[in-house]
Amino acid sequence: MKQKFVTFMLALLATTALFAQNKVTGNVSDAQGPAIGVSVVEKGTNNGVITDIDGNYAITVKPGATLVFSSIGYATQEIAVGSQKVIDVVLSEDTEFLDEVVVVGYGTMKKSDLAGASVSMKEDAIKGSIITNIDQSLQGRAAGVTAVQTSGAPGSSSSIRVRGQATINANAEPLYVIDGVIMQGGGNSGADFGLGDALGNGKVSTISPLSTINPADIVSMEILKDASATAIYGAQGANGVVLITTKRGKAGDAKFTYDGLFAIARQTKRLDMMNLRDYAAYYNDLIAQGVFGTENALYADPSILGKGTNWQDEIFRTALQHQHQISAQGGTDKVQYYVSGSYMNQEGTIIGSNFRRFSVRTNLDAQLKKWLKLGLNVTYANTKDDLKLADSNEGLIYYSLTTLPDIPVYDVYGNYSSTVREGYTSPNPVALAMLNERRLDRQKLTGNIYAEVTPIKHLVWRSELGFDISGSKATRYEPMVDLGGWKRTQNAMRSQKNSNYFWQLKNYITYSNTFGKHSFSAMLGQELWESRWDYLSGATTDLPSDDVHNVSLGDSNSAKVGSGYGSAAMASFFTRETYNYDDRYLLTYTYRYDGSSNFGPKNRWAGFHSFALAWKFSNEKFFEAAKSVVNSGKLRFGWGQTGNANIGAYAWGSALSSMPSALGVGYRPANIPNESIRWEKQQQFNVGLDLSFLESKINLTVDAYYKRSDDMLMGMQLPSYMGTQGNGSSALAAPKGNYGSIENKGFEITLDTHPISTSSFSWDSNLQFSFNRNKLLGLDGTSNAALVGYGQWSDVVCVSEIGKPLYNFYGYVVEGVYESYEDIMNSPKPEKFPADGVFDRRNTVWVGDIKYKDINNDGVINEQDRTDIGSPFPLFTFGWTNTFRYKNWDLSIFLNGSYGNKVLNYNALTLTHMNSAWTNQLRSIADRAQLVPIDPDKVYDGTGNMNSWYDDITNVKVANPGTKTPRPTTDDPNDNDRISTRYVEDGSYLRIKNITLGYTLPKSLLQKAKIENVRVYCNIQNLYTFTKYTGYDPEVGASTQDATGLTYGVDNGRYPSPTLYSFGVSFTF
Amino acid sequence: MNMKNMYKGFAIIAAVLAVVSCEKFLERPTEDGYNVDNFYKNDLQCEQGVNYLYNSPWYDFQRGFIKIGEVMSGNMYWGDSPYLSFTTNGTDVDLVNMSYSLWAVNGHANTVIHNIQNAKGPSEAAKRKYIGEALVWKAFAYFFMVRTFGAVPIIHDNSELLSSGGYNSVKKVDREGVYEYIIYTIETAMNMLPKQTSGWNQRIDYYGAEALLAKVYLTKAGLSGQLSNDDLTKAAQYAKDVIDHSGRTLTPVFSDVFRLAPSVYNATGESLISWQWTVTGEQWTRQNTLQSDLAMVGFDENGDVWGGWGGPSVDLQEAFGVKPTDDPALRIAEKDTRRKATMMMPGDVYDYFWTDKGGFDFLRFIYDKDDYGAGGPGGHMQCQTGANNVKHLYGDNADHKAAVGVPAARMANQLPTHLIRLSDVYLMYAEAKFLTNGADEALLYVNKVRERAGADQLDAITYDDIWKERRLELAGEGDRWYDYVRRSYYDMQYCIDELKSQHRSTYYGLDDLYMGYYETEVWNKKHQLDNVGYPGINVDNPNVTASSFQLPFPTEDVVFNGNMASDAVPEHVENIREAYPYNF
Repeated sequence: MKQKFVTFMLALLATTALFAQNKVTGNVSDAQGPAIGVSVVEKGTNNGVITDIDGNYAITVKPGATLVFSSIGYATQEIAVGSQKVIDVVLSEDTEFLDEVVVVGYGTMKKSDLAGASVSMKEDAIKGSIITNIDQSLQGRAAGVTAVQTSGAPGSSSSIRVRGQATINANAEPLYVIDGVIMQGGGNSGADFGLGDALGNGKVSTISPLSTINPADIVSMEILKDASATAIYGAQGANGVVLITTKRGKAGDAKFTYDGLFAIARQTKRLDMMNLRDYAAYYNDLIAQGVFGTENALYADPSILGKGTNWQDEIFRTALQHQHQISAQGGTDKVQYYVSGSYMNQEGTIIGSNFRRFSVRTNLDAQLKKWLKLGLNVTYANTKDDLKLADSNEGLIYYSLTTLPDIPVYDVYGNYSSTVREGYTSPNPVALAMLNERRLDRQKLTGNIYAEVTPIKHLVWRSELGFDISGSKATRYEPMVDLGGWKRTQNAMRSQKNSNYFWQLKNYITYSNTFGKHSFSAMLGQELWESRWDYLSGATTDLPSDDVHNVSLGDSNSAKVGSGYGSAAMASFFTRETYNYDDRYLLTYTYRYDGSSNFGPKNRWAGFHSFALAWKFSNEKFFEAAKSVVNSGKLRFGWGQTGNANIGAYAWGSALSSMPSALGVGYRPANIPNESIRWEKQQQFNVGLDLSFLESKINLTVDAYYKRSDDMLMGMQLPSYMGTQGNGSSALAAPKGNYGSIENKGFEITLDTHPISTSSFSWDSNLQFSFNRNKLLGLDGTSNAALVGYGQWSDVVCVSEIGKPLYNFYGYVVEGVYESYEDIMNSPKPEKFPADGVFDRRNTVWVGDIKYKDINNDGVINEQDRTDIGSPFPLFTFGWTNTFRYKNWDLSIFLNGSYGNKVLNYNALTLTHMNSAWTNQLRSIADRAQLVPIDPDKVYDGTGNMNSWYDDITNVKVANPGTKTPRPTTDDPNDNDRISTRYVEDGSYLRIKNITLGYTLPKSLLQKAKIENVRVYCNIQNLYTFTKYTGYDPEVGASTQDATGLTYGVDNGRYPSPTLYSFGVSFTF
Repeated sequence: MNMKNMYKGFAIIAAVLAVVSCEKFLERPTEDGYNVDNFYKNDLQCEQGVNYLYNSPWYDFQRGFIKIGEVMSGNMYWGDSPYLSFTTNGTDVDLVNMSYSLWAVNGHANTVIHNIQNAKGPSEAAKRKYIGEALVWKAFAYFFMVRTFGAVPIIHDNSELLSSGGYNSVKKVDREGVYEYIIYTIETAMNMLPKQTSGWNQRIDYYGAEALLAKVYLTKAGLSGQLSNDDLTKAAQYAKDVIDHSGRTLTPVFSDVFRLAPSVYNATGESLISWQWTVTGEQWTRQNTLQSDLAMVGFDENGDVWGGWGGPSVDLQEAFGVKPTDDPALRIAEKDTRRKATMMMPGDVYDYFWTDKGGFDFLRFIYDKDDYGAGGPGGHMQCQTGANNVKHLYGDNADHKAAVGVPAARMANQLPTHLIRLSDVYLMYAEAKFLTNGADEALLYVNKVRERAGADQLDAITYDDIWKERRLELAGEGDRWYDYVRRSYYDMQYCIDELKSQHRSTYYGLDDLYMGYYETEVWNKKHQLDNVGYPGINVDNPNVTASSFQLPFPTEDVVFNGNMASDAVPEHVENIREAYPYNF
């Protein structure tokens, strides 16, 4: 397209010497007003002009000429001049235009020529959401892509899965390629940046590498889904590829755009926790039942108490966000530029969390010679994150829920208060949020320089040098704290600087030509990249005061230094051939041969093939008759191989890490080596159908796929007796190798319709559904191998069994509670059934305990009765966007949702456990098993340890036998809070994700002020979520707490996504 | 530079890079550290390769060590702990971590042994010495496992088992087999370890291994249900060899055994096998963390202490002949120094803690809440047994720095944890002799232990005396529960009865009593004793049964291997030494 344009511009310049015969003037406009820069050409000649800023033109033509009005994005019109002197034209938008050219990796293609499965997202869709990170915009917008936000923290990451989870690797995220440069992450976990476990122990954290990219610079994203499309990325393409294209300048006068936005975010949902009155009543009730020992006089009369502290209100706040972007673009026919600068500041809805980003970008293109084009893209970004640990059993959400309402935020002196009771510290979540500092500052300079040479016609050689240089500084500071009940008199600080250098060089030659009905292209290329990283850290304790946070101020005896460095590299060769016969049959073949430094000499190289075939049956003669209804139809078939090498460097050997002891320095083997480790391979079949009805008013795309990953790269899952489990720095890491197979199959429907499109009113609708099923086909080893994922530390919550979907929740099935002694005696025997028949409410099973199901019917309830209790993956996800335009108004409503997924409400485990007086509970425990005496008059004298009816199992029954909430018990001998169906909830939801109402000021009004365009809009994000889920938010992605990375959908206090109300304005002048 | 030159530059770079050998470009082993292939090249590297077996893999066992060894045995009170009430199940986090840790020790030991055995470069003597140390640690891990879980699988060589693919179908081996494996492992180690008889260092030598062997024989003696004379004889013989030939003697001052500086705690070689923690470096698991769980809030400066709500049980106090309701003045006459070195009680002042503040005063710390005890319990005593722990405490940062030159850090100190001490060997010897008609020898060695402690000499001895002496000498050191386990092998009912009759619960009213004493310096001035009582609820008379003496093997492994189920029948291996041979 660009070349066409350039050719045209050159043509235009050639038309200097002409003889005038007939002058025609007129005005060209579109629905919004005057159309600027529209080319008006006398057909069949080089004679042409372009319209001015008011849309006016004047051209002199020969008699009988025909004028051709054309402009990018509009349907071309031809008008015979005849005797007219004035010709006004209203251009209509070309709906096919947006689909015309898409980036496919190492080149572009016409969308209609694509044989593979990919999906485009244009600027409009990105703009429709108020987002900090581009990955957030993928949610519900692209069929086959599931995007789940890991956290509602500002600038946080999303778990993106293209066509399901296809690898066990923690890094199942797609490959991001920005203007041809592979995006460098710098890490997924807090530990990668030097924050240790401050953000949890998981393989993923809420830190997002993509948050360094300014979404406003992006013009389009292509998500390559099937292997025939991704295979060109070979070894890096197994998880899908997202190609991001940034804005470039267009020839013409400089245009300036200002975009500004102001937003307010808040948490609209609170969990229904007990307030002080509820808590006092609960406490007293438990005293009466002999569960808690000591009465508390303060609680004696709950009715005189207030509501106490609502800790949720204390840690959540109404947060402000504002962002500004200014850009300039323009250029001559030879040189075009796009320059932008942006700043954003986003407060988190949890106090103390904050995200700031500053970025600048310059994109330049220069046509130096007819045969030589050069270009440059450079972007610099600087981000500052104030991070908080929201989830986990040490996170702010957890503490805000469990801290009792009888503790004030501040004591009478205005200091933070806290309370320690029987060894249980309530660490004042507000103090925790405000005092401990966890900061991450990042800088990133990325870009590329390219040269495009056309030595002969039809042949283009492109050379590109890309780079990504980034650095980060992570700071943890733990100040001296005096919370009354808890004190830290020695402060501690740790700081780490990371540097990453990445460069990539690629060269590829493309030849394309057409001979009659045959057109073809062939591309051959080479690529090389290297990535180097290093870090240096320092830590000290005992800084003289908390005023200056500098590691070197601490006690030098306590100083610790850390350092490390390493590198990775890849070398590749690739080719792609396409063939098009008569615009009816399309054929694509790609091959890539990759070598990765992650593998040992034996298995370093691997090749990946793919084929795709498409049949545009609507261009067949026999289809002519149907064309009035189906104006376009294409059937696609693709097969391809891709790979995955994401295992980290040197997994084929065994590195030694240092571990000091009192005997001096020590070195420990980090893992068991596996020399034969090799590529993870994936194969995918795809069948797709594209149909357009009624002059493209209705467009339907359906794709079905089957993909299978083999030789899956992962740490081997071994039983604990192999010494490979537990604390990562003490266990012996299991060997990494090729241990499993997974299949994913599914289909995707996109229905894109334009029911109404008149010049004053239009309605566009886009509906998409994605269905995916995955299954673990096998794990190396015996048939009973499985993958185990953990909740907080070492409690098994997810098990992936062979023949079943990944990450199924795993636990016991709850049947109810034991209603009476007889009920216990007549049921299968739980573990704490007393062998000697002597029941004791403190250390044997008791009335009111949970009755678990005896799955294997052996009459005993034990660990073998655990089973699959639900899948965290949805049956389908969907998104529906409706855009309405009426004159200068536009309204967009975007709904998205997920159906059939389960969420493990891990928080509820503590919030309903009723085994301590010192953790606040959900109000829903009001339906707990109420124990009452069968015979209230029975007298006890202390024999057999029986002092009251509640010690006598034969005299206890449950007053509300239908309940599924157990009795309160501080000893919990029956383990009522083990992982069970009690905590597995339906996570289906329908969310009103975005509503945007915009108004564009009429151009007639703006012209006088020389302003081209002004649009004001307001947007509400996450307005409402329809769900049965009882936690904050059913959207829960990968776990940030599980060190194995083998859990999904576990809500361990996830930072909930806020509701965002924003107001924005956009000027172009 | 004009664009054309730039383009030329590109072309040149491209050409050069394309020519560079890809293979060389892609060969990237670890750059910033050693790997298995370039390490273990000399004697020092063998030593460094074994050093971490003295701390890191054991790290996650620290809580289980206290909770099983001390809380379950009734030596220590710990709030709602399931170990106090005998309700521990197979998903208990401390139990699971303990199991992870012990298996990690075994896995690491196997790997290091394999690496050193195949190393080219180190001297044969060094290879034997360090393989020997690794073997002792491996044996010790199994010793903890067999006493805690009973039958467990034998993982003899991790990499071999991995390559054979049978790792998900191994079976538990019965206790007899596991004991035999432990003995074989220690005997192998003793053949390789040097006999160190002077210049005590902190490493395991021949006599450390022999002391462990004595303990294994003593433990195993009752396994069949009846005491084996052979085993007892061997236990006595090995213990006596350590006593007579190792050159080690008891440290003159009992409390010195538990101090930080190697020159103090190991001046006479009393400690035979210890975990050797450090604060150097940042690597988690290098360090001792026990003070956090065992000391009162505010005991050190790092904001990392929360253990004040638990402490030595009333039952243990009674064993020492003290009660929380005793007038502290009576303790002036106290002879047995072990009481104060084990538990802090009203009136106690420790000159070796808080050396920068003139010593640590128990009651002042609790009740002088705004000054001396600022940041501490804040005017109320926490552990309602009336006592707090002393063993495993290092003090504050100044104490730490004075002893080893560096301050402690958050949840990190350097205090070694002793697993076998010479006085334990004395008592083992005494017990083994007593049970094989050697009461005189038994009396002699029990009295030696008592003499060092300052306690009165016994005139005659009974089995109960030895049983109790072990408790007093080793209280808090993670060993008591295993005394019950070995006794339960042949005398189950005694153990059940004793545990059920313990005073495992707390008092009420002590806080007022102690506060009054602190303020008035007169005991019971306002008759606070009238409001003190021991209700004995909750955890007295726990539900102890025969099955209590074997803790559930963590249940998660059942997912991988059904043979790990709690009711799986263990395998009996006829000849352990042939089935799992060592070829050194």
